[in-house]
Amino acid sequence: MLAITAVAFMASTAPLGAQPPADSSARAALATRFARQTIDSLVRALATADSLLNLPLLHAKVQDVSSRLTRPEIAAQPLQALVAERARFSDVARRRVRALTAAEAAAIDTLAALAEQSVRRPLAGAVGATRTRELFVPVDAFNSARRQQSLAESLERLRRFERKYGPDAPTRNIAEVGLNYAAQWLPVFGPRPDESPSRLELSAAYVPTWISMPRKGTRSDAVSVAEAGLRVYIWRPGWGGQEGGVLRPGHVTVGALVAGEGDGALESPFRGRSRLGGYVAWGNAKVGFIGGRDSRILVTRKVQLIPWTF
Amino acid sequence: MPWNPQSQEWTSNRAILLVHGIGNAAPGDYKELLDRVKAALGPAAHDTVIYQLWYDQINDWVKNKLQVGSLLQQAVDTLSTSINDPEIGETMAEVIGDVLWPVLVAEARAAVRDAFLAQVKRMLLDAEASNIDPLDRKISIICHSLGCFHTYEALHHAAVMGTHALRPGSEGVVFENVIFMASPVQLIRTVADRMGPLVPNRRWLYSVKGDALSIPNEPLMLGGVTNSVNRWISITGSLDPVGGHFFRRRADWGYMNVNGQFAALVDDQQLLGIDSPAALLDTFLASRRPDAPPLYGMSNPHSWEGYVDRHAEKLREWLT
Repeated sequence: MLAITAVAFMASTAPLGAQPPADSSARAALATRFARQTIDSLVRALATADSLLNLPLLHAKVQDVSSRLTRPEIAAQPLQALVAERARFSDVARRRVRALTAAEAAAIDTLAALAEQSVRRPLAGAVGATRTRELFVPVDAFNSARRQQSLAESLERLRRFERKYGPDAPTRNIAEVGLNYAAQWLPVFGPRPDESPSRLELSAAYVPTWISMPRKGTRSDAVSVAEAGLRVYIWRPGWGGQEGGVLRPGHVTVGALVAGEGDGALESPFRGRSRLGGYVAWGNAKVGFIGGRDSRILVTRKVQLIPWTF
Repeated sequence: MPWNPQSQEWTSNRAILLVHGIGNAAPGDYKELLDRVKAALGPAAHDTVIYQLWYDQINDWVKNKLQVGSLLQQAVDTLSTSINDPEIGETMAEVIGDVLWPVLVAEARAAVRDAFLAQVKRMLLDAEASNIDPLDRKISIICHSLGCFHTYEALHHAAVMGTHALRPGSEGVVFENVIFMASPVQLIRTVADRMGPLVPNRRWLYSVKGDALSIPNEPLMLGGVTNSVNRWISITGSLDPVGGHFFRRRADWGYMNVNGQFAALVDDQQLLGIDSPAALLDTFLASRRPDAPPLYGMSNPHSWEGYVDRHAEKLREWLT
């Protein structure tokens, strides 16, 4: 039988719509109770419900699924701990729990889903709401943990979205708007399978604000270039925005650049014999080089002088 | 500032989520609407928890980063062709075209959907913490305008994606009422269909899936299906173009009509005193504000407060 002890809030027989709100001690008791639920609790709850309902189709399914959860060493595994361990893998498809085989993990999901789909309501009709709630404590504990985990994942995805699109995110010019709109069709640039935004973004800009580093025989000068690069967002907490500052930015970019034959501000990068190079941006701080006979080291800071242009 | 869902203690087994349309809404806004919903509920308002989904922060981020207007033009042109009215078509398409932007940016669509689902998860956890029996829990949604699109998308996504733990069968999350007011979902579906390959990530754009709009559901392991919504209700007005009516002429390509819905009501908006297509257009143009979302007053056929007022009695019947 289930080793379930009644707690005060569960014993509430208040009529529909008039349950007293749970106070903090009742919430703590609920949390403690949920934390105690194990795989064994879940299997036993379903077995009890199955015996009370006596539905042949349900019985066969419960028997089948429960038969995959018979290893003695997994019986005492807490359900909430399993949810937490599974969540540590960011890739949903690779989520595994060390103590369980894939078939066992799937069987737990199936059993909890079966309970909601085909047991809870008929059971309440057969044995009453109070008894049903008691029997369903393991199912509720499991689903509550999943829901809390899922909420945390939603908020994490929104935090990532803010990093990419929020007030501290790099602005886009009109060319980048078009490029990234088109790039949505490539799987790596669209929402990820776990529904997070892609950490990638295409960058393309005319930048007239690079400064060449002085060296023997030449002085520092403005250089205008055309850039094309790939921006990678860093999701790690503590990076990006004011919290991360200059040392731990929210994004890095690598790319190629083209400069015109001569240096100068607001020059065409395609004038005369163009010079090729590359650049790296650590947040908004950028370092680049132009190759060739007259090679240069360049520095600048990402800034949009005119909205939507450059 | 990070986005966070609203959290409240439940004082009974009933909660309502209000999902607004395009606006500059922040916590504390839509006070008039809230008052009108409470008035409609009557005494039940005291023990009905009302949540409001604030997602304009996400809209603003996207708008600022993507210059949505430039992307939107193609969609607005398609809408204008669909309206096919030489007198009001082009201008009306421009005025109501804002509702089309989520179609064009897959990540923004996903972000609003995630905010919506996070709010629902928070509501369920609040209900659990307030000792509400899952079998007694009654959550309703009232959405308006673009909020209807986000609601439609989020409910369909929740019904098929187990990772959100919100499926109607497997997690028992069934909404008591979902009331769509001036829904542009069919209009968006039509425009998206006509735009064809210009719409990204159709895999997760439920408005364009299938042969017709549908109520989300989940097939059950032992046979049958469970719907996500007990009462699917659609309300629009005879002068509301967002809800698929162009000066009393219902346009089937823009009017949301879902198989299996509980009720589909079309308000006769004659009393608003708008007597010509030009006057209707003027009313919508007057709602536009520079550098701010449109403001729909009570005399505008698209007013959310107007819909709530006209259906106060029905709302009380459904929601209490």
